[in-house]
Amino acid sequence: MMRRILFAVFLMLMPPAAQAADALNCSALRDIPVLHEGRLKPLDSFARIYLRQFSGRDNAAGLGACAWLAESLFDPAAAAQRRIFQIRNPELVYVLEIDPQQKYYALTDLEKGLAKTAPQIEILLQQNPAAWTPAQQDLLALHNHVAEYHEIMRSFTLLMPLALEVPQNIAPQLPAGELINFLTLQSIEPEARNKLAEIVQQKGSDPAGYDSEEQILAQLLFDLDALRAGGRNSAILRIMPAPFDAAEKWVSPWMMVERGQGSPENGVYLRLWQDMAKAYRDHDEAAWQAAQKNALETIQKRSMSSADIARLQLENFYNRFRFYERAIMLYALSLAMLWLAARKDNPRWLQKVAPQRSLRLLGYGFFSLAVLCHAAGILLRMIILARPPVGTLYESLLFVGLICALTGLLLFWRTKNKLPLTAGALAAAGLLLAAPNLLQQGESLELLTAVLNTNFWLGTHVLTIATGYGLCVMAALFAHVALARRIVHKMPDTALENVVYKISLAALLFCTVGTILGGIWADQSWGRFWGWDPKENGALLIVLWLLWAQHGRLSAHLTPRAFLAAIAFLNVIVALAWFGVNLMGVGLHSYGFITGIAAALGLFCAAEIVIIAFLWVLAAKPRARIS
Amino acid sequence: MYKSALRLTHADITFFILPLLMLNLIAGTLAQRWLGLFDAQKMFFSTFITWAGPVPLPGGYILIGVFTLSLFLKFILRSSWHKNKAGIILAHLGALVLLVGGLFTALTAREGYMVIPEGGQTPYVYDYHKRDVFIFENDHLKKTIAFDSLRAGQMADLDVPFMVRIVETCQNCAIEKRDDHALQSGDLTLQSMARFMALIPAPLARENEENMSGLSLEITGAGEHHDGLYIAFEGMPEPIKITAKNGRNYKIIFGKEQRLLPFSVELVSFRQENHPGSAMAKSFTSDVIVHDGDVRWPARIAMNEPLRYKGYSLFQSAFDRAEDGSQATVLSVVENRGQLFPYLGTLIIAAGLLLHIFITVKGRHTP
Repeated sequence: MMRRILFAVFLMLMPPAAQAADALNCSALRDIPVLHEGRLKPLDSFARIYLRQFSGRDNAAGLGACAWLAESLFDPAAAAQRRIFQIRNPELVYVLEIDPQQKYYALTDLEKGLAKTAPQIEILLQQNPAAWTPAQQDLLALHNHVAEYHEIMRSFTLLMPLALEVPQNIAPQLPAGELINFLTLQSIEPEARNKLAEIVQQKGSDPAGYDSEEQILAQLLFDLDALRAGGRNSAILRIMPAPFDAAEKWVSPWMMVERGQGSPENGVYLRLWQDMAKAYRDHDEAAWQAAQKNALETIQKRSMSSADIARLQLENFYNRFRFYERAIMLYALSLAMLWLAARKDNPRWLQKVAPQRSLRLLGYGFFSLAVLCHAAGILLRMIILARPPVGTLYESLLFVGLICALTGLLLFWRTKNKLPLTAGALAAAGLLLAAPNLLQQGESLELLTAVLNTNFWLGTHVLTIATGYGLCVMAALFAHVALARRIVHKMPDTALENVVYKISLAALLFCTVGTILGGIWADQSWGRFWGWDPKENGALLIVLWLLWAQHGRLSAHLTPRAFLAAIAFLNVIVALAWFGVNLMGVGLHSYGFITGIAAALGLFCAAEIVIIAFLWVLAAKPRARIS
Repeated sequence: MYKSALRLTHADITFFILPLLMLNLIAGTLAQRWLGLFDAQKMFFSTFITWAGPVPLPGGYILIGVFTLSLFLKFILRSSWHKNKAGIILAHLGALVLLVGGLFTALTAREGYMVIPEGGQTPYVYDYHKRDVFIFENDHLKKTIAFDSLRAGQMADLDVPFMVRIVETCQNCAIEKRDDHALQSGDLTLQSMARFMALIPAPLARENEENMSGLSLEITGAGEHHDGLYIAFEGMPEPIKITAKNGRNYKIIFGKEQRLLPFSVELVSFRQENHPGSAMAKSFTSDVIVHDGDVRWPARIAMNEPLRYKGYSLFQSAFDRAEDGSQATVLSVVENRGQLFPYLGTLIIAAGLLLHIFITVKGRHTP
């Protein structure tokens, strides 16, 4: 509650900028480093993370993430009117009394509803989180987001021009030619306080009895206190290098002032931001560009290693290039080309423009480009985060997708058959499409918890098991196709069924070794090889299922058709072991806890069961098929 | 006998036992949602019989046992000792090593934890689950009784010159505050902690480690100053002190079962390091000194970096920070002599499967 009152004060003090600043872009601002969630990252990443959290998108009603951040920092009054908060829950829309026609809402739209629900938040926080309804969870999240946004907007309140009156008797002491802001007012604050103390002594503490000059003085000091109290909590934007502080290398502007680190060095940095704020608010394009560039160069020169600079630029490149979206498109193109190349009756014009052979080559080309793009994205992540590629659920999807594509490529190279390419492209594109749904908090480049802080085991156990998952997915896809071919051709495709068996063997190798390596990690890290933890059991389940199917095939308890169905069903087993376990929210591996994918997972499993049953039945009676 | 042994050697045993094993695994995993890991493990995995309501089903021990036995007999009696099968044979041997190692570990390994405040030193390991009542006579440990063996309403044989009757026990207790220092409950005089609070049974926590056990007991024949109702509670480790008529001092302490290590550990300092500029932990580290007889040396225990000594492994597992800033580290202590088996088993299995794939691939080229 207190926070909101403080915020209101600050918004009143901060006049809107002369002109809307829509056209100002962030050519250099986006590269400026900020320490956030344990990692030095470019400001553009910071902006994207919060914008994604608030609005679920990468842009704010036409503004790019970084431009939105600039507006929030330098023109908070305008930013408060920008519609960035996504609220979809109708119950919440009703409670907050906001226009149900909108999808996105501005701070100013929400003010009333948030004030009304603030008491409810206090009560909710006392309760068991498990008892919160979805609407209550959303309400809490919204309150948190708004609090975070306030904190971001307050980052530079100390150097923004203030719309307040300074008593005439002390005004001349202000530094000549400077803006009136918190920093400059600080120089007259001690004297102002002495004066107020004298007044209080003479006239008491009720401002009603003061003359107008004295009231202005009291108001000024009250506003300064409010700004300071609001700023004290503002630690989110750690953008100021603090070279003399061993514990915290980067601090927020308010932290720097609060800690009295008024060294000339810090004055230089504050000046940089003040110039930027001024240029932004004057809507002076040339000055704005120059100020950004100057700030970036100064910070880079004084406080960053060349490795840091390169890493941050790489991260911005990674964010902007959208590797996985491009890879999805390329996989799709490759699928389309391969499909066209396989058709016997393409229209004449197409045959003329692109004969089957060129279509086929185009398909291969697009596939290779997709794999390159996919792999490059993963490689860049590794460089940026300085760790092996898989540590979160999101990353596991990216990596398993790549394994599927590479398996397809390898099999294509060995067999010269196009089927592995098709299966690989389908699996990879599907996994890449699903991946963003598993992101937490809009941050894709997140750091890992202390348990996972070991590159050796992330590089061995996790990669082995993820490769196993990828092979399982490919084996299952091939098994689907092999069953379908039994139906269509009325006879088994022996070569393909042999491939299914071999991939399942490779999958068994990787899953078994991966699972056991996980046990060894557990033994090394917390002293037990096996703990019946859900994720361990899930991995074991895959191994047992593979063992069962293969032994059934060898001992002829499973007909070749049943073996294919069992391997096709591997998709369901892997999905459950991979994600289902995280949904349970128990055990050591619940680090990737996710809500909202339960339904998707259930749907996938149900669909697979129906499809496999259908294929299995039809494959049994090829003659009964209606042709 | 020999015939049934032969029946076990068929590969189809695997085929039939695996689905049962998988069902057991799924049920035991899902059950953790409601039962917690410890109870689910006891009910499905570390048991001979799993009860599905009134119906007994084979539990983890039986399933894995039959599986192992069948694998062993098959391996000995029915392996086709041909070089084409070398990979398969090796993989099965590896699986056997793994299973036998697992059995050995299940039978012999013991887990516990130790809590050491900064500057403190201890040779004691507490059990995670078992609780005991300890009786001291003139500060010497006289007797230890397992909490599980105590029954409400019965007399407890504590080997003391006064009578002790167990009034109530609870696996997980909640405390109920008594009104302003009550003196009586029924016809019993309330003594020490019992004057301020009563224990009432609470629903069990999902994870057994979170349960706070306790008991209330009635003492008679110790003189009117000491007779009355007492409580002993894990959450407030305050000993019950009685001076008996024979003049000796008795202390009754309730807590987790303790074991003595053949060495002791002193905590020099505990550190939590965060990712810069965030409250997210990057690492936890305990700097300790190991004391073994006259020998002592410093060691460091951190996440993923345990201390191994004399068959014990000490792992960083948790920490405690008091309001005054003093810290204590919580170390998991595992005694496991079967640690080598999984490493060996994995190597053999991996080698076997690789060899098999190699043989299969090569076989295709030279028909």
